[in-house]
Amino acid sequence: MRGSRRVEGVRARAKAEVRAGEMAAAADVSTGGVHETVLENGLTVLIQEVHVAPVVSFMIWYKVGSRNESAGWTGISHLLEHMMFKGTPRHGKGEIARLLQRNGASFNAGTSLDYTNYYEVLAADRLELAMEIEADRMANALIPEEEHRLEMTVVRSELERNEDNPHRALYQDLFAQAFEAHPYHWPTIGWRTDVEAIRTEQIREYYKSHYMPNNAVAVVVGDVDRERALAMVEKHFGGIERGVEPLPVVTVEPPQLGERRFKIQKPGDTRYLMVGWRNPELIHADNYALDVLGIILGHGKTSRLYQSLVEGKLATEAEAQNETARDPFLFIAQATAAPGIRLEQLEESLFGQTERLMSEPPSALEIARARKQIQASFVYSRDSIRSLAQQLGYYEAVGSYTYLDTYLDRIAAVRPEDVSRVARQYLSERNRTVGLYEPISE
Amino acid sequence: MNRYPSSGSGTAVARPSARTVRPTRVELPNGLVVIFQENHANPTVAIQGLVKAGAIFDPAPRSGLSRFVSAMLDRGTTKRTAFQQADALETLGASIHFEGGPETIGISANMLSEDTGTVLEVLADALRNPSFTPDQIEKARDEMLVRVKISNENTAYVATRTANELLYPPEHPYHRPPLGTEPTLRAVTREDLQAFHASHYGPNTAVLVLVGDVDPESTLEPVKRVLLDWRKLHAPPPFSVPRAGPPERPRRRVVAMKGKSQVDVAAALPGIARTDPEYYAAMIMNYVLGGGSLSSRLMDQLRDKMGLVYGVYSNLHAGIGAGPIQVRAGTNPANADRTAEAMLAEVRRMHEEGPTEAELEEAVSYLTGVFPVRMETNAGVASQLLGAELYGLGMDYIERYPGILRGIRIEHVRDASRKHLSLDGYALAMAGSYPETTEARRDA
Repeated sequence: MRGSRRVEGVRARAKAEVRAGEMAAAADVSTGGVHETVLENGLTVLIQEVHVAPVVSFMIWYKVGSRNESAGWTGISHLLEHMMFKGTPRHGKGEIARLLQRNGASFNAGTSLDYTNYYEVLAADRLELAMEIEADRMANALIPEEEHRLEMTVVRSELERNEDNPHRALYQDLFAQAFEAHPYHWPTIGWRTDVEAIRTEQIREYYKSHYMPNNAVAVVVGDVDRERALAMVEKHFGGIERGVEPLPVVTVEPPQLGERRFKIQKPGDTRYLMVGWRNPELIHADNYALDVLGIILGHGKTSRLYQSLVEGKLATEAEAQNETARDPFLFIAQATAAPGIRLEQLEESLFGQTERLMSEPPSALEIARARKQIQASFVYSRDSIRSLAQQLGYYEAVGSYTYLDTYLDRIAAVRPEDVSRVARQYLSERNRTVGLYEPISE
Repeated sequence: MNRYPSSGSGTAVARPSARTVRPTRVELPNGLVVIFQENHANPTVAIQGLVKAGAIFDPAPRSGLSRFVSAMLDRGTTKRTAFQQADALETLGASIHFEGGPETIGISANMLSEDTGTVLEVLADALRNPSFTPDQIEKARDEMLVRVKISNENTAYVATRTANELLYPPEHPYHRPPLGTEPTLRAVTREDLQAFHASHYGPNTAVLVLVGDVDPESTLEPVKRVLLDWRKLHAPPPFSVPRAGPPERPRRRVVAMKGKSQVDVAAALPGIARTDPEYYAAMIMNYVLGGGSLSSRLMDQLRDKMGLVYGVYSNLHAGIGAGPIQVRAGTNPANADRTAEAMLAEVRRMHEEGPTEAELEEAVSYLTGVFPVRMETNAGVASQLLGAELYGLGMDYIERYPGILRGIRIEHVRDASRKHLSLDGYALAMAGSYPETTEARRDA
């Protein structure tokens, strides 16, 4: 999960049905199952009672990720996430992990474009331990220089692991080509030379300027009593002082004015194709139709890409998804070439499918199937308190959890013509970046 | 029925949970075992199941055959084309997946409870009636060939695969790659696929577990409707794996791969079967050594103290047969030898000393505490029940589990360590861009 460049897209979004009331700052909104409270220090708290298993999920989401970095110190958000396990005055090195394990918690942390999160899933009667640890490291992380030096080998190893993975290499170049000005240009793990050059003092400074209650969201989902859980959050986090709001990200990516192409050539045997089309920011209304388009084009065996590319013996895998982020991001399609198939053949077939959707709306049956898949996945996610908490935290960190309130209704309102319209508007040649992974023999 | 309670009630009383309801186990006259566990919190059902038709049954010149057969189950039946199979599920927002494993074929499915009957019918059709059309066979073959190529470019896969080949003699089923190889996959014929299916897929080699919004009384009806007339296999092949001793001396191999940033190091020792009475002690031994925790001995030493790796894990592959105990990590090529030696040093230390009392206590505390967390979802409960059935642990296994672990004493774990972590005979493989100067040390 660490350093994952995956962005929550439609699949993640379509995971939970969450009822919630209107947003109201510093007020308790008690309609439906999610209760939102904003503490005096600015910490947003979302609590949902789910009494299926004697388990609770606790998460802290910081609204900081590689989006908040700049050239020269890319990767610092991810590096900081690693250093958050290195202790506080109260919990020595390694003790955080040891305490959580001792208490049977499943836990980890992750850094992405727009956020950094820390989570624990554990027995409901041990919730306070998770809160105590997260509150402690929100304010008191030590970030020792010696630990930073040691951790660099670990981070290097993570960088190298990514370099050996064709999909990750394609993703990385795709973002670098599709975004020239915006920070989505660089990988979450950072450019290697930047990561090597970051000083411990910079990490501490970054920590102080981004980890604060008024830049964070706390999520509690599970077998708890709402009032008691809220009192517990107040007890542990209420005393942490509000910080100075981090500077907003001002860079807006200029419009793309023509197709961009790149090629990766490394030793190997398998050819891959990856195409990204620039899409609008998460909260933009066109994303509902783009999400439906993603499913019709590239989700499951009934999808257009599977039927044309895989059943047509050009690819062994083919999929597409509207990947959204806080700022405009990418609708991505990808395919693995079948033996002996050239990437030009894959491209031709893939673009044949996107062009057809532009000129000819999908059938009512395809729309209904896509809608049902999204609706069902919302219901499935209620089986897991972790996915419910993940969903609430993600949307609150990049926008508002209330986005989920109307999501299914907006999906249900998508008509075949809407799908064709967004296909024409976004999946154009001019708006796309085409990545080829072409193995070479040495 | 314990429906989702209304929130904000303000009280924290213990609520009846589906997890406290005992599962129901039914064996149909044709031998099919069906297990139900109710949880009406959400209108969904998760199915986990298996067929005893995994890669251990692959004939040596046809490695990959078992996976090949499982890849054909959703590629058309005598009733439905591949598209119709997918459409029947995707239209409902449901899914069925088959996963070819070393010993069994895994089945997992998700559905809204109102669609349980339909999904069971599609599942039964897939298991019973695959049509093996030549066109779909070629597509599945291509997919598997590409999968083999991708895996052979993956340093972690190559290292663990090579370690298994060094550890088990050539005639042993674990020696062979479950994915197959290019020549063995190319050699598979339609007749091979049909014959394997006919002799391994039957009600008496299958188990289905349904957890969620099911009523054991009424849900058994749709199961019977689609599976009761499935003909029993007269002579299912024995579901067992021969024991293999350790190699007489350590066996090492370096596989040079071009253009890689990392070297993966994998060590393997002979392990134990899941049904072995020593299993729980060995599981705790493995947890302390490197079984997934951030503060395991391997992580503490190789990651935190020496800074050699991003992650290092040990695995106890205990199945019907004694699968290997594996330790694996990826590292910078310059550190490959140090990583291998540090790995073996931790194995040796555990072999000689076993865990400390504190480590044992922490392990039991974690493993008992995380158990309900792992069973947080219907699929999680189903997979525990499936394992309980496969290994004959009893339907009360979930209740007994914490007690079993708390009964493990330090001597048990020390005995297991002494017995299973001896470095007199082990396999060690490294794969990646290993430094040229030392490459001559192949097969030391």
